[in-house]
Formats: sequence, C-alpha cells, structure tokens
Amino acid sequence: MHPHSALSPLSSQSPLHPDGIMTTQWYEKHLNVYPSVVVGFYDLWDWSMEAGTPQRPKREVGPLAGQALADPVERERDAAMAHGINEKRKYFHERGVKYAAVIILNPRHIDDPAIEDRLAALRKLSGLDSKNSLFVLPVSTQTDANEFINNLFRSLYEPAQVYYSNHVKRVRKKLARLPSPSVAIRQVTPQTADGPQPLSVPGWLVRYEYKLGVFQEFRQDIQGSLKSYDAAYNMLLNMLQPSTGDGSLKPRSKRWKEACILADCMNIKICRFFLFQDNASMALAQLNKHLHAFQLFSNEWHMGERSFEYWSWLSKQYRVFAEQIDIATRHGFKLPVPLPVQSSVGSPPLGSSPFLGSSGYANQAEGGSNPGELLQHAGFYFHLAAMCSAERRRRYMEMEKWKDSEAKTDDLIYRSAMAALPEEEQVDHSALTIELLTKGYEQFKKHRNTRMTLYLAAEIAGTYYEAGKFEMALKFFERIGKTYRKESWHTVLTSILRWSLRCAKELGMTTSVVGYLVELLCDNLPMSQDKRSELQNDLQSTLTHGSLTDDDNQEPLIVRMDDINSFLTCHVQFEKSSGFVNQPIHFQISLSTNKSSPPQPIVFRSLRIIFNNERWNQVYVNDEGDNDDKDYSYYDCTNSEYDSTEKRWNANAGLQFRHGQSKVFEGTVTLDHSENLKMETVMLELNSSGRQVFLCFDIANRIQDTRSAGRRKWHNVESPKPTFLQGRGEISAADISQQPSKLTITNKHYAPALVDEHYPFFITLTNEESTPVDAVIRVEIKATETQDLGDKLKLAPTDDDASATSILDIDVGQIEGNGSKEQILYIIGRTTPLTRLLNISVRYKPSSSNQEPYFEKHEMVKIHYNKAFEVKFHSHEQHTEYKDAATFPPSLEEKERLLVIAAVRCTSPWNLQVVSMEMEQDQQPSHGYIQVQAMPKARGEDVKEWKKDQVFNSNHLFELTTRDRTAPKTAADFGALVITWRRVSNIHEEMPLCQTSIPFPPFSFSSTEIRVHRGKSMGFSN
Amino acid sequence: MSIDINCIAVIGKQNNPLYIKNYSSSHPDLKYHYIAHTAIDVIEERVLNNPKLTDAYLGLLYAMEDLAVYGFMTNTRVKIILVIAVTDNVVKDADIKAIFTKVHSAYVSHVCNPFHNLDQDFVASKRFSNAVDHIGQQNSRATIDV
Repeated sequence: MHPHSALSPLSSQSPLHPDGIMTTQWYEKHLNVYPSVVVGFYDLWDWSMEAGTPQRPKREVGPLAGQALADPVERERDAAMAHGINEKRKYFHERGVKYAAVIILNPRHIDDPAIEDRLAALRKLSGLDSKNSLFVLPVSTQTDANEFINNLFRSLYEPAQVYYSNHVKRVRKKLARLPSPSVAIRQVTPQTADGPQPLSVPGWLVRYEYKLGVFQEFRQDIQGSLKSYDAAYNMLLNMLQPSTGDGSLKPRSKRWKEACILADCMNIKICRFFLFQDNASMALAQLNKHLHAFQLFSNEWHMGERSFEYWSWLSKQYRVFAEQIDIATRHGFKLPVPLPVQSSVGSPPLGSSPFLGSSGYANQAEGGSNPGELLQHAGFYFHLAAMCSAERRRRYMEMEKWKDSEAKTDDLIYRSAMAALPEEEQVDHSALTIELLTKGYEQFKKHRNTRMTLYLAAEIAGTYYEAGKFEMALKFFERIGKTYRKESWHTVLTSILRWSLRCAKELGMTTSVVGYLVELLCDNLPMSQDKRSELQNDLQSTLTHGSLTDDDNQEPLIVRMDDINSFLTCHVQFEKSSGFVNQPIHFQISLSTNKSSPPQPIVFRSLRIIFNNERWNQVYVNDEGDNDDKDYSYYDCTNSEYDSTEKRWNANAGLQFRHGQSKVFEGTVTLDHSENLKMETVMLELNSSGRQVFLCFDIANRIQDTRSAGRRKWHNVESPKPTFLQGRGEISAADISQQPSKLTITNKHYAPALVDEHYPFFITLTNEESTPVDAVIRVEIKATETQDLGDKLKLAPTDDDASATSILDIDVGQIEGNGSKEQILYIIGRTTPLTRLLNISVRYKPSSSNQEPYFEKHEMVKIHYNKAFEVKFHSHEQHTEYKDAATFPPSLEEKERLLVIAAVRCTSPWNLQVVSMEMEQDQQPSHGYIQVQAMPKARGEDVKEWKKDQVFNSNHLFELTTRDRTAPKTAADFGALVITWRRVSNIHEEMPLCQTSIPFPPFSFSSTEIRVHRGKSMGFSN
Repeated sequence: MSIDINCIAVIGKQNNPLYIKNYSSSHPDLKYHYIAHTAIDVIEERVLNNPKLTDAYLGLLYAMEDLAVYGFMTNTRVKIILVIAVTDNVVKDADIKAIFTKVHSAYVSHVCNPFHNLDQDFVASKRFSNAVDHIGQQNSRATIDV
C-alpha cells in the first residue's frame, strides 16, 4: 500500500485534511511538476573535453585494427555514463515514468569509425533499448534539430499517454473500491462529532472523477475526460445543493468556497470540450445548467440576486464563457446561424414531432428553435457579463447605502453582504464594466455588427457617466449620436442627447449645452410637452443667467441647425435666378416652427441674412411692438436701409415665434455691379446676455435633389397659400448682370450691287439708352457658296486695295445717349453676280464700364449682285490678202482683216457713267503662227451716261497674220475690252472708277478658207 | 404554445424607423429602439451571406438577455422586426412567420394608400397602428395553435 500523498485529505499535513475535495496544488503538480516522460541529454565523451591533455593517440585503422579500435579511456568513460543513465532509468521506472536519453555527438565523432561500437555498448550498458529510449543527436543544423525534436516528441508521445493511462487505471481502481454514491449518501448522514468530519464518500467520488478527468485530458482523450468531468461536476452539484446536500459544505466555509470554484472550473472545462467537439448547443446547455443551478443555490446561501456577490459571480461566468467562444472561433469554430428552413411549400413540414421539442437547436429542421439555446458569438456574452457587472455595482451601492443608514436589519443577505463589503469596496466596478463592454464592442466590431457596437458604446458612455467620467461619456455619446440622427432613430437620439446634456452641464461646456437644448426642442424627438417646456426654460436661463454671461470668449456661439434636428425650418427663395444691375432682386426667407414646439413663444433678437458679399447683408431686428400671433405672417423688409457704420441693411420685423407658426420675410437687394449673388447663411440671434448666440442655417451648402423637391414657392402678403414659381426646390443664388443697353443696327445700301464696283454700305447704330455706349463692328463677307471669290471690304473708296480684307473690324467709338452713328464701308464683289452675305456683329458696352465689350448683336444682310454689262461680239471677215503664191519658194503668208463689233449692253438698273471703253491687248501673243493686230480706229464720241438696256456698239478692226497658212488653223486671243465706269448717283460722285474687262473671243482665220480658195481660183478663172 | 410579443418594429429601406411599438412592461421603449436598430446589421449580414435565401422570413436574428429578435425583409427592403420574450420553449418558425405575414399585410395595405409618403413615419396612421397593435396585443396574451 502506497503511503498517502502529501496532498491527500488523509495526510494530516495536507491542505485538504481532513475533508477537502481538491486543491489547485494537485492540478498544478500534475500539470507543471510531475513529468510523464523524462529525457536526459548527454555529451559523448571525447579527448578534446579533457583540458590540457594531448591529442588522443591515433587510432589504428586496417584489417589488423580489430578489437584495438576502442580506446580504453573512451570505453571507461562511456561505461561510467551508461551507469549514470541506467541509474536514472531505474529511478524513473520505479515511478512509472519513461526515461529517454539523448546522446549528443560532437563534430569529431562524425568520422570516427568506432562510434557505432561505442553507441552499441552504451545502449547495452544503460539498459535503454534503441527504439524509443536512446536517441543520438548528430551535429546538425537548425532545421535538422527541429526535425529531431519533432521526431523525439512523436516517439515519446505514446509513453506519455501510457503514463497517464496508468494513472487513470490507478484512480479507477480506487474509485471502484468506493461504495456507490447512493449508498454513500445514506451512510454519511449521521453526524456525530463536533470536529471536522473526514471527506465523505461523494467527496471522494468527486475527487476521483475529477482526477480521472484531468488524467484523461492530459492523455488527450477528450471524450473520456468530458465524461469524467461531467460525472464529477454533477456529483459536486449534488453536494453543494443546500437542501439535499450532505451538509459537509457549509456556505462561506473554506471547503464550500473550494467546491464552488471547482464547480466553476469544471463547468468551463465541460463547455470548452463541447466546443472542441463542435457541439455548440451542448456547450451553451452546460453553461445554462451551471447558471441555473447556482442561481437556485445562491438564494439558499443568502447571496441571491439581491447581492452583489451573485452578480459578480455571474459576470465572471459569462466573461469566461465569452473568452472560451472567442478562443474557439479564432481556431475555426463555426457559430451556428439560425436560418429558417427554406421550405418550398409555404406550410410547415408535416413530420414535425412534439417529442423533439426540447432539444433546441438540433430540431431546427422541424422549423423552430429555442432562442434561449442559440449559441452566439462572444460579444453577446461579454455584453451579458458587463450587464451583470453593472448590476453588481448597483447592488453594491445599495449595500453601501444600507451600511451607512441607521436602520439595522437582520436580513441574512445584508449580513452576509456586509462580510464581503470591505473586499468589494476595493473593486472599481465601472472600470470592470467598461472593460467588459469594450471587449464586447470589439467582438461585435469583428462580426461587423456596427449598430450593435453603437449600442455598446452607449452603454459604455452610460457607465462612464455613472463613474463620473463625463468627458469620456460625452466623447462616446457624440460619436454615436451621428448615426442615430442620420437614420432618424429619434427615441434613441433623445436619450443620447439628454445624457449628453447632463455631461455637458457637469463639464460646464456651455456651447454644447446650448446645442443639445436647441436640438431637444425639435418635435421629432419624442418627449412630453412638460419636459420640453422645462428644456426651453433651461435654454432660456442658460442664455441669460448661465455661464454664457461670464464667458470670456466673445466669439458668437453658433448652433448649426442643418446638422441637427431643428424645431425651425428655414426656406429661402430668390424670385428669379438672375437679375440686372441697379434693379432690385427680391428674395423671401420663410421660417416655420414645429407643430408643437417650441412650447412657449420664443423671441429672436434679429434675423440675419448673410450673402457672399457682406455689403448686401440684411439684418431684420425684432420689432418689440409686433405681437402677431397668426399662423401665417408676412413681413415686408424690402425697404431696408443701409447703415454705413455697421455696413449692413437694417429693417424691422416680428421675430417672435410660437409653435405651429410660419413667417415670411421678403427683402430686396439692389446691386450696383454684376455679381453672382449667393445667400450663404440665415442666422437667428437668440436673446442672450453676454455672448451672442446664433441659430445658423447653412443655405449655401444645402444639398437638394431638385427632382424630389417641391415646386418653387413664393409667398403672398395675406394668404399662407403660396404661388408657384417656375422650377423646383430652392434658389439661393442669383446671377446679377448688366442689363444689355438698347442699341439698334440699321443698314442702308442700294441693291443690287454691281460686280467690280465699290459698293457703299451704310451701317447705322442707334443708342436708345440715355447713357453713351462704345461699340465695335465686325463685318464679314461671304458668298452664298463656299468658294472664295476674292471679295473685299474696305473703309475708304480708294483704288488702294492694301487695306481691303474679307473681315473688317471697325471701331465706332462712343455713341452718345440717344444718338446714333453711321458707318460706311465699301464692298467689292468680284467675278460673278452671286448673292453675297454680309455678317454684321456689333459688340458694345456702356462707356462707364471698364470691362471688355460684352453685349453682342448680330445681323445678316443679303446683297444681290448684277453684272454691269453684257457684251455680244460679232466678227465680220473683211479682207483677205495672200502673198504671191507663184514665187518660189511660195510665200505662205496670209492676212485677214476682221471687223469685230462689240455690242455692250448696260445691264445695270442704275445709270452708269462710262468714262472709256478701250481695248487692252494681252502682252503675250497666245499663238505663234497667228498675229493679231488692232487697226487704228476712229474715235467715236464717248457717251457719258448709259442707261439700262442701252446698247453701245464698239467696232474694232483686227488684222490676223500668219506666216504659214498651211499650218493648222487655231484661234488666237487678243485681249479684252476694258470699260471704265462708275455708277451715277449723288453719293457715288467720289467713287473711284471701276474697270470691267470683257475678254474678246479668240480670233481665228475664217473657217471658209477652203471656199475662199476655191473662190479665188474661180476668181482667177473669172 | 404562446409567443410573448414584446415589440413589433417596421424599419424603412433607409434604415429609418417607421413604426416601433412596445407591448411589454418589462423594458422601456428605448431598449426596443436600440434592439430594432441593432437588428438591421444582422438582417443585412444574413441577406448578404445567404444569397439563396428566397423567403422574406429571416429567422432568429439574435437573442439578447431575455429577448429573442426575429427578422423579416420585404422585396422593397422594408424590415420588420419582432422581439419576443425568451421562454424555455421551442419557438416554431411557422408561428413567427405567421405573425410577420400579418404585419406585412398591414404594411402593404397601408402603403397602398396613394396619399402616403413611403419614407414617413407610420405613427400618424391610425389604421396601421390599430392593425399592428391588434397583432401585438393579441399575441402577447393569446396562444397560437398551428
């Protein structure tokens, strides 16, 4: 029989003596102290280890070496080492522990042929068989060493298991010797002696089952271990049960405390093993079982739900459980998702059985589950732990209060709590709660439940508030408020704002206080009318008596109404989106209060309309005498007056608002220059003493969806019913520009124009404004067809074409008010009588403006063209002369005279003054064989003025000469008939003469030559 | 078996609350507002992770303390949330679904009103709140037999 171990309840020096079940020392001993396998590491002896000795003698190598291979010194050393190993082996063997040795070789050994023999001898002497007990570690690299270690671990895993298996067997034997629990309980009942009784049989059972659990766990037999722990746990619960227990565990005794802790530990072990086995529902069931059991016990122990101890304990259970789930999920444990069964038919499956009812998640296939049995992620359990921790704090505060009160009580809970109070006083409850909430927060964040994190943040903030850390609390409230505001969760936001308000008040943050109070006035935030009324009074007193007055900060306090829920809505509207300089542009600001807020009338000191250019800022001051209480009021502020000292426009209006009221303020701005006028903000100044407080509507940065926005409204004086303007939404900016001055363009010309003439064209600009304007004209000529006809425009009727262009810019200069200016230009249309287009564009500006001309007017004029003359040529052969053909060689020269009559018809509808009509011979004769010569002509009397359709003949005599009449007969050009003329008209006196040149048709010898020859011969014959 | 309805919530497609009603006395309204808001995440996650989900009924979303939260999402992404008290009983999906269907039909008949603004609070509508409250109050007491 073994003597009892030092930790056994049977040993008198044991901490468990005589009735303890288990101590942590035992677990500690087996976990960290008692080995299951021992490995000794030995260096194989070598000469080099001997300090100061010479190199060991060279070993003989060869066929004769034989037995002499082993060095006697080595042999001696090895034997000593083997002896040592053997001693160790024996020692551990007696204790059931496997001993293994690792022989470490040094580099010298590698090439030593004797090494194998030495190792074999060692094996034999040490009593370790080679397979799993003696290992040789050759000189090696890091990876080799790792490999070796893994190998070593694998080889020794089994002996280690055997070690624990032996323990299991040993404990089982002990367990078998105990009477069965049912018998045992009956046996223990009589309690005789006063002193501590020895450990009861159930106690022993728990002890042995627990030991079995531990050893099986160490043996990595999770299934077996779970079974044993479960048995031990259930037995222990029985013992702890206040009514049916054996009474050996008195509440608050040392043994009781130990037992409770043991139960908690085993509970977690069991949960953990279920998680290992992917059995989520059983893990949760175990936790619930544990919690329910202890909840019941606690009441009996007088530390039930009214005691902080209970909540402290519960918080710890949830926390540890959450940690287990966190560990499990991080190692790949998949949480169940309670998806409903997707049935193709709408009805529930027919096979649902009522008997499967209580198995929770498992019967989900039947289309249902117990929500209390759903294992969720760690965040939920951290949250529960935090809630318990918060409850613990409340219970603790209660006790503290009780302690200080005079009324003493015999309440058992009170008495037992008082005992634990000094310890509890050391606890920082809020920090604990916040820590748990933060852990939960992180879990929810990990699972992307962002909205849940907001909820936890709210809890954290609340805890900070309770702990008096208002700054932290406010920081959290501020952070979460945004989402609730954005998603319109007004009830939640109201709560957050009221908490924030409290924090801000504690911290003396007046700016924030005012902001929260203003937002809380909004109807959207659900609240009783009395409460809101209270808040309004609060706001009023903050503004007038609060710290605002002694605030050194003189910067105005701005409440941005667009960022919060506002009890006032503000709409702005420019009547038109554009206007002109020096003309008033109208705008309306309409302000409406909520249906039931503010509860009492609120009076603003002023209404300010801030433009992008401060010169136009409007300030409408409250008219004290105005007590208009109608639902709708209209205020005409168009007569605002400029205050040059304040640099703003002032007017008076009624600025008292009660709930359900709307007021419209109409104003005007008259700009003296062009500008894009933008309404930036509308500000309402609250009545405050000291610092100014503004409710500010940020008009310029409003984002409006014009599609969904209503039609533009314009309010009237009497009726709240607005009229509708064109467009949708709000127009808060107006483009103010110079009104275009009135200027007309007229033109005068005498069509049709004649080809080649300087055609005068008059443009008259008439300024219809009273102020002078500067104007520039650009004229461009184009033929209707795209081709360039070489048309030109010029300003002066001179022959000089240098300044002529097809685009002409004319600076007209200043035109006086109501005056006009005429500009003449000349058009020269060449070649063909096509219709020309004249584009006239006039750019002009008032002379007072320094900017570039910015008004532009266009006009297009069509000009029809005529030819001045039409010429028909008639040629008459007059005389032909041959040289004597009889000469030899015969002269082939031939001459012919032609009378060409040019009938020039005046086609111009205008009378023309024709100065001359002359022939102009081409410089180069066009043909080598034929020469054309004009014969002198008698000058006829020049007719000065030609009328339409008059025909003037001009006779011209030509002599054609050819040196070789046998050469092919071709035509020859001579030149043109040039008519110099001008149009007859009083304005055309100064016109330069135009020249129209009409080319003569090509001349040729008469085609009747053959006939003529024959005729000649006939002539001869004649 | 009885289903103890603590709260019915209807949430708009922009995740704004349309209707939230507390039928219990165990928790303040605020708690249910928080719970309904929190449920949005779970609904979104569940719909995203289960593309095969064809049913509007999304099942048990989560259980918090003694409350179980169930979800339902219409084609127009309007979410209906049901909060019931956790008892130690199995809750049949069919029962929960039946409640959701009733609330859904109340919602549908409400939005059929051509003068109704879809994104506005439903509290103003007497008919809708009567219909939903009827479901809520009936189920908070009575028993459903399937």
